[in-house]
Parts: sequence; C-alpha cells; structure tokens
Amino acid sequence: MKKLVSLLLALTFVLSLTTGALAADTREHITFWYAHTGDEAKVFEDAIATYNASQDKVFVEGVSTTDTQKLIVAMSGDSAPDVISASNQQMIQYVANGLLDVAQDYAEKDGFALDIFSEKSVEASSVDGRLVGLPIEAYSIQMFYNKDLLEAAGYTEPPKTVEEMYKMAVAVTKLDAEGKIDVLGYPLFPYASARQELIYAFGGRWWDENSNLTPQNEGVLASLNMNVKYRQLYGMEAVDAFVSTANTNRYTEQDMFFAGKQLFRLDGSWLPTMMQNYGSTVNYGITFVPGTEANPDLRGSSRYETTCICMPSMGQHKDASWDFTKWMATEGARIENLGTGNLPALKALYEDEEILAKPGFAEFIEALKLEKGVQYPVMNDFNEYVSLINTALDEVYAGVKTPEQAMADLADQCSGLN
Amino acid sequence: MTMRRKHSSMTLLEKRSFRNGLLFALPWIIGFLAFSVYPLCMSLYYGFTQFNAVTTPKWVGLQNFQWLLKDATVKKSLMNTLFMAFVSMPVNLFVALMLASIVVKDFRGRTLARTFFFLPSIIPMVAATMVWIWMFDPTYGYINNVLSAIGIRGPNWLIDARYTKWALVLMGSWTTGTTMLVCMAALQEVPVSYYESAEIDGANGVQKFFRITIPCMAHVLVYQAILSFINSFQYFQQVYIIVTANSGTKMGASLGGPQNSIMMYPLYIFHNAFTYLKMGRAAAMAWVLFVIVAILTVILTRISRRVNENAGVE
Amino acid sequence: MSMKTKHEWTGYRVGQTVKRTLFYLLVVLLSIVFLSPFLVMITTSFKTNSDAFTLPVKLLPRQWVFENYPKAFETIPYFRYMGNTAFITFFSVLGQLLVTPMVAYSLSKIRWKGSKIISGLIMATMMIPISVTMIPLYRIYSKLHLVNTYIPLILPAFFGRAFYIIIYRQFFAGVPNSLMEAAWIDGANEAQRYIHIALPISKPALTTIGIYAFLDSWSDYLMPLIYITKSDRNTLSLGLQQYISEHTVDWSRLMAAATIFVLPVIVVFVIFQKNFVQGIATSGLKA
Repeated sequence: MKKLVSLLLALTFVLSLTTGALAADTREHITFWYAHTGDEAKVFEDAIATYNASQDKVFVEGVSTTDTQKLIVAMSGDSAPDVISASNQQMIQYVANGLLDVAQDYAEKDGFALDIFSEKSVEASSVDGRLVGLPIEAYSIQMFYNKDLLEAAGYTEPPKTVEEMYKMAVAVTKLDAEGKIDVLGYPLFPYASARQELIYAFGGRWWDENSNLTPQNEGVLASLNMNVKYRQLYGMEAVDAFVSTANTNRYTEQDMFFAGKQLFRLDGSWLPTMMQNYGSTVNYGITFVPGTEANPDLRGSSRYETTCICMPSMGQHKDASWDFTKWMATEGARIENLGTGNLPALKALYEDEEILAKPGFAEFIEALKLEKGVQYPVMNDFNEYVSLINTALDEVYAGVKTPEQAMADLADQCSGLN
Repeated sequence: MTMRRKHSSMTLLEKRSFRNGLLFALPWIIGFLAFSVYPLCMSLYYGFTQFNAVTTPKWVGLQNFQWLLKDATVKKSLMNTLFMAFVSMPVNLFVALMLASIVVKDFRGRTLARTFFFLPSIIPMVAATMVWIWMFDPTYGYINNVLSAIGIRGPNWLIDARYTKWALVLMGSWTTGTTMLVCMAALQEVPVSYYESAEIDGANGVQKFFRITIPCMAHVLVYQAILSFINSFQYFQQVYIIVTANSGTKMGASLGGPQNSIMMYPLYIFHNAFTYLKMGRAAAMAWVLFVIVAILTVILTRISRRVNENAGVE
Repeated sequence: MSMKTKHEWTGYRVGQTVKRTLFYLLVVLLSIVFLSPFLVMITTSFKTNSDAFTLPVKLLPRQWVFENYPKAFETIPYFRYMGNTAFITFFSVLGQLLVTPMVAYSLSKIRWKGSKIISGLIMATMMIPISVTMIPLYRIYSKLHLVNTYIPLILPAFFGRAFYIIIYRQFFAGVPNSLMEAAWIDGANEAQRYIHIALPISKPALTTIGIYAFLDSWSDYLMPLIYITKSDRNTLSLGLQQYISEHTVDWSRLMAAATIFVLPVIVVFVIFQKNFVQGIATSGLKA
C-alpha cells in the first residue's frame, strides 16, 4: 500500500512540474481581463494578438473571466489585472468602491480626444461627469420577432404597442397535448429583458434620473400585471418549465428563438450574428421595443449599456496599460465590434461599411439614434438592488405575491440602500 | 490510571512526557492559533466595522448587527439553512442506513454494489452539481422524463421555489456513501446472538430492526447526525454553482435562486463579502453563524451523551 | 402428514427464491439509480449538442461523436489546470501525511497533561464554519501578497486537520500499548518510538489519510474560488466552472470536461478502495 501511495505522490508531483515557467522577455507584460467567453473570447484574443504584433514595447496577456466576484477580489489585491473590460454598470460600482483609475485623467494628460466616442456612450460611461473607462462597445435591446409565426396567426406587421403585442402573443402561443408550452408568445425570456425592456415599454422605471429607487412606479406595476395575466392564462408551471429550458439552452444552436419556438424576443445586436453562425433558418425581423397605447412615444425604450476598457487603480504598469487601453478602444474596437456583433461606441464606425453590413446592425443603429436609452443609476449598492428586484420578481412570477404587494415590500427593503 | 499526584509539581517523567506531547502536537497548536483563534477574534472585531477589500476597517458599533436583525434575506437564508439541516439530515441517515443494511448482507456482487453506492460521495462537487443541473431540466432532463414515463408530471425543480430545496435534498441523498460505510461497520458489530434470541421470541424483521438494530447503532447514528448537521451550515458549493449556472444573461436571476429559496447562509455571507463588498456585514453574519452552530452542537452532544448512556455504550 | 411437510418445505424454498429475486432486483434498481448521473454524464459527452436537446430524450446517443473531448481540451487549458491541481494536491497530501500521525501520536500514545484539552479543541474546530475564518484569513494573505499563489491552499495542510487527526487517533487507540512499551525498555526515546514503531504500524491509517487528503484537495472549490483569480493558475474545479459562462452552455462539451475531471478520482478510488472503506468505517464508530 505504501508503494501505491508513493506512486500516487510521484505521479502528482511529475504532473505538477508540467506547469512550465514563462520565457524571459524584454517587453513590458500587462494583463487584460475581459468578460467575454467562447467565440467572443476568440475575437478578443485576435485583437490582443494584433496589438502585440503592432509594436514591440508592450506585451498583453488576455484572460477571459466572467466571474465578477473574482474580478473584484483580484482588483483589490496586489495581483490586480492592469486593464479590464467592464460594463458601465459594473464600472460605476467599482468607482464607488475606489477600485478604478479615471481614464479622463490619462486622456487629458495625453491629449487624447474623447469626442471620437458617441455622446451617449461617453455619458453612460461617466461618473460625476468624468469618463471612467473608454467605451469599446454599446448595447441596447430591441425586439426580434418570428415572421412566420406572426403571419400564421394572421398578422403582417409587428406590434407597436404592448397591448397589440399581448394579443399577438396569445394568438401564437401553442400548447402540446400535455399542456406544455410549445411556442411561447410573450417575451418572458431572457430574464434580464423581462426585468428591463418589458418594464420600460410600459414607462416603468426602477430608478429615476436622480438615482432614487422607484419600484412602485405605475409602469412597473402595469407591466407586471400583464406578465402575470399571461402566466395565469397558460399556467405558471407551464410557463416556468418553458423559461427554465430556454435558460438551459440559451444562445446555443437549440436556443428557443433560433429553433422557432419563441415569437418575440427582446435581445441584443449579437443575436443575428449568433443565428448566422448556427445556421438558424428562422425568418425573423427586428423592430423597436413597443410602447403603450396611451403613450406611443415610449416605443424604442431600452437599456443603454457600454462595455469599457478601464484600468484598476491597483495595477502596476500605468503607461503601458494606458497605451493598450487607447488602442483597444479605437483600432481594437473595430475588430471587436465586427467579430462579436456588438454595436460600436466610436462615431467613425457608424459609417463603416463593413460594420453596417453586419446582420441587424442597421436596425440597431437606427434605434440608438432615437436616444431612448435608459441609463443606470449611480449608486454603491446597485448589485444589491438588482438582487432584491430579482427576488421580488420571482415572487410575482410564482404568484406568491401580487405585483402591488411585492413592489411595496421591495420599496421597504431597498430603503436602506445608497 | 497509574498517574499519581505526589506533589503539585510534576515528576521528571511527567515533565518529559509533557514536553514530548507538546512537541508532537505543536504543529496543530500553531495552526490552531493561526487558522482558528486569530481569524475568530478578528472576525468578531470586523463585525463591528465597515470595509471593503481595499479600505481599512472603520468602527461602526452595532450597525452591522442591527442590519442583520432587520434584513429579510438574512432571515430567509437562515431558514433555508435550517431546512437543509433538519430535512436533509434525516433523509440522508435513512438512505445511508437502508443502503448499509443491503451491503452488510453477504451476497454475490456485494462489493460491486457497495462501490456503486459509495462512488457518488467522492465525485468532485462541481462536476456532480453540473450533471444534476442537466438532469433537473424540466424538458430535456432525465428525472422528469423518467417520472413522466410512469405517469407523474415532474416539477420545475430548479426554478420553482417550492421544489428547489427538495432538489438539493435529492442531490444530498445521492452522496451518503460515507455515512453508509460507517453504518455498515456499526451493523456488523451488532451481536448476532441478539437477533437469534429475538427470533426465538418470534420477532419479525421490522421489530428486530427497531428493537435491536436501531438501539445498538444509536450512538453511531447520533454522531453522524451531528456531523451532517454541522455540515449543513457549511452548505455552499452546490448552491453557488446552481445559481451561477442559472443566472443566465447579463444581470441575470437572483443570487439566491428563485425567490432566494436556496440562498444559504454561507452563500449570503459570501455575496456580502465578495459581491456587495460589505465585509464588515459578512463578518458579523459569520459570527452569528458560529454562535448558532456552537449552541446547537452543545445541545446535540448532550443528547448524544444521553443516548450513549441509555444504550450502555462506552 | 409427510405430504404436508414436503409441501411446506417447497413453499419455504419458493419463498426464499422469491425473496432472493426481489432482493437482487432492489440492488440492481438502486445501483442504476446511484449510477445514473454517471451514465448521463458519460453518454451525453458522446452526443452532439442538438442530440442532447432532441425529444424524446434517449440515454444513448443517436449518433456517437467523439469531438466533444478534443473540444473540451481546447476550451480550457485542461492539462495546465490538471498540473496546477496536481501541484496543490501533492503538497497538501504531503503536509497532512507529515503532521497528522504526529499529532495523533501525541494525543493517544503520549501520556501528558493537556492531551485531553487538545483533543477537545480539535473536536471543537470541526464546528467552526469556514465563513467565519474566511475574511480575516483572506485579509492576511492579501496583505502578505499571497493571493493568487498556492500558499493559502497548501499551507493549512502542514498544520493538520481535525477530521484526519481524529481518524488517525482512532487507529492508534486500537494499537496495544504493550507494543510501544517493549521499545521503551530498549531505551528508545519518543522520536525513535514514533518513527520505528508507530509510523510503520499505522500504515493503513496513513494510506486512508493520504487518500482523503488527495480527494479533498483535488475537488476543493471554495478555497481556489477565493484565492485564485488568474485563470492560468486555475484548478480543474474552477476551470470546469468556466464552462457555465455568461452566454452559452455547451452541455455535451461540459459533460466531456466533467468526465475527464472525474476520471482520476475514480481511478484512485478503485485502486485504494479497500483501505478507504476500512478507514471510514472505523472513523465514524466512536464519537
């Protein structure tokens, strides 16, 4: 037995030696953490390789990490990455906790003009009027609809109001013999859109311009009530089963929308690129998120988020990091936007032919021009608020509480946040 | 006991033994001070402060503890954890005992069966949990498909708040191998003569089980119960993985599962520390947990002692 | 009269056979239940993703594919992570093997004031939740610039772990003192007795501890989650988690990755099964 133990130990030891050391290199090494994975990560690696080949002073090592906890932990330690990509809402929280340098300081010192980025993206990526990170991509959400399903139900045009949308959803929703949902009409998946765009369409807001929290907003309640009405029509459990599976196979080849099992889908500009890559044959259209009959002006409302390249304050190689940050937000951004199907933040790219040729981009850029993006609030406890919202929504969806009750409770719970 | 106390001072032999004993135990003593005592004290201090991973702790008095009493999620996570402790523990013991009473029998394929029953408990939790997530899918998962084959419509395990914890209980009962082995060893120690005399008295299988097997194993079962109970308060990995997998798209679902139904106390501590960056709060929560576990352990140990006395075991 | 006896006798035999069959049926059924997650994991790893998402659900792939394995190796630097995990595991096991027998020896074979107290404290540490010590320890390591190294994952192993010490002590308790005393007469000191008698005698316990430490360290998740943030230093369990990314879960590939993660554990278990089973069985008997 002892022999076997020592054999085992020897084996693990040999394996442990296989982790080789890095060869010596005169270039300044920096690490760049980005939050994209899979095929999108390959695009980032391409961009990084292009940068590394373009000059001989800095060498960037790219790391794909989606775990935000890890990022926070890393940023607060001495092994912080030098450059990271972060969504503007994460960025706001990091700044509030003193984890990031302000990019505008570097830009001013360096004479780097910030007006090459769209005003909206600069606004979204700023805290207290200072640009924290350089925006590399923007995203907003629009409505995708399955043309064939809609036509089969006798409609030729996508809905302009939520009332129309509801009618069409009910007309198209299909149950199988066991009462399970085969085709989902109302856009209850993805969760994130149900919480945001499906609320904004009704004029609902989770916060106002002054970052006050407004969970009991009329629009929020109206949206949730319609959501519950649809759920009750087909049975909460049937809807949940569909949504659960939709979550299991989201953005894979079998994604419910790609497979023609979802009528409406509130999603981002990356969706057409994915569908193209998976060879989905669904005949789809893209239109604005609807408004309400009472207020048609709400049409086209969506979150407006940016992903920014920013520099953690604990990072070491500031000059090299800034050089890469600049490059990534300009030349790198083009590579990134083309590869991932995210919308540009650089103004010049709005006219770039290759960019405009991406499927769906024309529609999304059109929507961006409406300027109806909803910005995130500036608050320390944003993550906590989102978590509370999610829990309250779960309760509404499950029928445990009425929307009114749940939102009143939520208002109560979030009173201590700042 | 040969130890005699002649004077208050130790004899030379005793001194030498003391020195040797201390030296041999020294690594653990140092580790105890560094990895248990010091963090415990610091954690208590941190409970009265406010800080994130970067800033230095700032004294805030009882603020964190006041928050703790008020916060609905703290209460919920505590209830969830207690649920796991009180429901999962007996279920696991039952399953373990059932499996043990099978593999204790002498039959062909016994070793193989024992291996099969035990294997799940050594599988890395990350891998096992992911497989379970896949099996729990309401449409493509095997569990609901098997259920529907026998005419039962399975629930939405991981999305319906009424079933999420039961899904965890199910997962837990799959990994009772260790307890099974301990039970098996205990079963082997029950004297055969007890059963024989019971048979003469005309006792049936069920009677034998409750009158002989259970009392003879009581001390083992109670000890396992305590261990499993303490473990329930450490419940983290499985829920963390399920929740990360379920969260889906950017700004996904609740950090504690549907309606926070699987928000376990340690998970909430983790999120407070590393997601909300409120380490002071997390430390306060952790200390409360420590006190709860300590009290419960003392109570359970008392019970266990009484059981042992009644059973007349050591 | 004799007819009746004969009849009873066959009845008894038939009853036994039925009982036996039922028993085997139960064992087979339970085995299937307990193995099914493994079966699902392995068979799904040989399916295409679209096969996995086709109704009706079938256990075996409609079409066997092997591409998930090379793809799994491609998606995460599997061998690198395995090397990292092996490194951590090696030193953790080493630490436990060095320290556990020493402490256990002190508690059960040296008669000294304080051994009772230490034993009690060791039992008590088992109920300290990791969450309590997590934050202060994290702060210390981070101040010492040890986050993102393997030190926080390995160091504690060199100071013993309550559970292992208790198992080991249990083993020593079963070794008669007369063995030790024989050597005492020969004039051996404590260290010699420990090395020449106690250690060789306790080989089975040493093996059990070694396997335990191996399994615990190999599958550890929380500690790497907290301390390892650089992806090239990831352990396998963290790497596996990368599969469940923000955008896509490729289930069949995930199952392939899970399979190759689980495999070494199963191999080790099958080799050492006997020791392991004995070790656990004795550990839990006494409180």
